[in-house]
Amino acid sequence: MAISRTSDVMKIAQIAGFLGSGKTTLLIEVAKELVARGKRVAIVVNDVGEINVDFKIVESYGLKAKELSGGCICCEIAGNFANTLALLWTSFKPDIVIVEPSGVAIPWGLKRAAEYSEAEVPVIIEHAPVITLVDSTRIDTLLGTVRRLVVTQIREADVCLINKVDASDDARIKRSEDLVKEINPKCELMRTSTHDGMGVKEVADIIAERTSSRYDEAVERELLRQQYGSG
Amino acid sequence: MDEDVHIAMHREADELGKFATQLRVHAPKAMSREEAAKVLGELLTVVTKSCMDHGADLVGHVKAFLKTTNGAMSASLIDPQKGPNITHDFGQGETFQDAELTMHVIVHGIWDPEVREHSREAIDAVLRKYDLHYEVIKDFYEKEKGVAHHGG
Repeated sequence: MAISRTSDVMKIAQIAGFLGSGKTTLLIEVAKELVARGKRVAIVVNDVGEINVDFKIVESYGLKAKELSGGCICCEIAGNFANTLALLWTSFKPDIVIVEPSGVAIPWGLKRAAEYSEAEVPVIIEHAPVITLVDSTRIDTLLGTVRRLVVTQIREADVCLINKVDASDDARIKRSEDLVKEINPKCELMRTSTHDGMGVKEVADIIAERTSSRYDEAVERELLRQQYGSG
Repeated sequence: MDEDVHIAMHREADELGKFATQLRVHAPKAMSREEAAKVLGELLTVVTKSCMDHGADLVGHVKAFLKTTNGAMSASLIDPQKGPNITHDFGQGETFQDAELTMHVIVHGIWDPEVREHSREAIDAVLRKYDLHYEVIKDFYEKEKGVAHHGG
């Protein structure tokens, strides 16, 4: 059954990517853009540790933010995430919740966790396309040390942003794009520079106007099997 | 969800060494935004260098957030060759003496206790250099690896 756009729909927008890829900068700029368009926007920032520096930064911009610390949002504190979304819906009724996962969360696991909130409040969860940032300035270094983390985040993305193109060079940008095409041929590619605002309006369009599929255990199992070769 | 592969994913994340701390900072003499930026930049640079000198081979991120009643400043260092990026909302001429400083250090190649040790030493050295008094409000590093909750 198709989900109609009514006031009881809350859209979840994930902005994934390895540490230092520009997630916080992007989400602040995109949130400001969406607010300027009249959307009610909330932000959830997850950090593995108990001290959440990104939350403090986001909050300092006057944006409606909630922090989730002490574990990974897709598993350890999935229940806390669902509670937080339910609380946000009750108190603020956001049209869009932008989620910055810790950098180790699995996007499909996060979708599932978000949908748990439907059991707590009368709201339908809708997902924006999963956006993953790829830091084009240090793609070679990342592939050398944390390859599987980077690959997982790309594999589960609907849209990959080749970020920091202003500070990168053509060879690295192309290598980043080739890597994404190889890992996830269906993924859309965009070049961005969140530092100077390039791509912010386009990302806001993607989040506001488009949707991604709901959680499906079989799909997640297949994605993980492809990467880790078991299950 | 296939728990085995999920655990494998998190084990990779655990290869990152993490440390976070929150400090109450007092400057005996009022500091300008330029002086604060200099201190934050040096903090990130020295912490990062210390971790790299002791075995880290990749910076996840090294971040700092300074909050005062007159404004806030955030600093981030991803690439040691390029140095820190600093933004703030202090007005021209604003000064402060008391602040809350949050720091977050994530690197690859050394474990949490080492990241903590080298970060704390570096923070202490830089704050002393600028004659800033401080008190630790919170101090966090993972004593148990993140897979523990999965029984791994």
